Amino acid sequence: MTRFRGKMLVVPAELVGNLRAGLLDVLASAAEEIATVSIVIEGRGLLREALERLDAVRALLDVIGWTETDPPVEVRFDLREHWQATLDALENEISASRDRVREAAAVDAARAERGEPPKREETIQRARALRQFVATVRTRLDGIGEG
Amino acid sequence: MSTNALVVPAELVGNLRDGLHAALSFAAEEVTSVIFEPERSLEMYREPLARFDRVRALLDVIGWDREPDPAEARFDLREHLHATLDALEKEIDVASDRVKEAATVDAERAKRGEPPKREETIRRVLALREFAATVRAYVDSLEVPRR
Repeated sequence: MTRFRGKMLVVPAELVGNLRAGLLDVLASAAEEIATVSIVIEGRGLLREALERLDAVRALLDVIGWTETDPPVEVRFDLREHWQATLDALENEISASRDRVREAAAVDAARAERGEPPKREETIQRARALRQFVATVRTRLDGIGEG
Repeated sequence: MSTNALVVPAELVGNLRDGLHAALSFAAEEVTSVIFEPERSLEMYREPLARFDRVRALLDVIGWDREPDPAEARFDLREHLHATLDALEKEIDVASDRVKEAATVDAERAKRGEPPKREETIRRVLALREFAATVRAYVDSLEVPRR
């Protein structure tokens, strides 16, 4: 369940890994762009935007932690401060979770061959929880924008 | 001027800047490779991110973009030691390649009716190497660890 305490967004423990994975994807994408454009003199104008994206992601990773914890714990942060990184990361992760759902049947077939139980339902459930969380974050951001 | 201040001659500021951009690119690639490391830890991020920040700090001092009429740059070498050495090392590698290719480049230029540049290329590389040697001697006199 998503909760807000004042300006704070509370990310449920079970979704912190998704947020972190999304942030690391955005970080990788920004770093790759920096690696490419910084060595091309004509491309250096694009650096600023990529550096800003990278800084925003780093700032939120500093808050939620760069690596997984066992067990995962909920995190809380000021959504107004980190809204761009949060949205970028969650959009990235939604796209990845769609792919996981599409591939779930094939994954389960491979798991069955190895004698492992199916994971499709769990994958779908996690994707649904993530979408619901993102919708809530967007609603909250709309509220902040109007406020 | 502080006794630790390094003065970069105007004609070499562009080389230092190019070297810093190359170092930025390398550091960004290192960050990306950590992200894709399955057994990544917080420690693995620290050094590439620190190198990334050191390079950015010096670019903030000397300027990120080419200037039509470059002026000499001066900064505290102790503060920007690693970024300076990193950048000069990378730029010397590139400059050495330019010397190796100078005869071929001149042949192409001759076909287009343009004057040769080999002598200028060699002169610039020598100036860069001389400057790097001066910096290294200065660093040795400061008695600070290079890495």
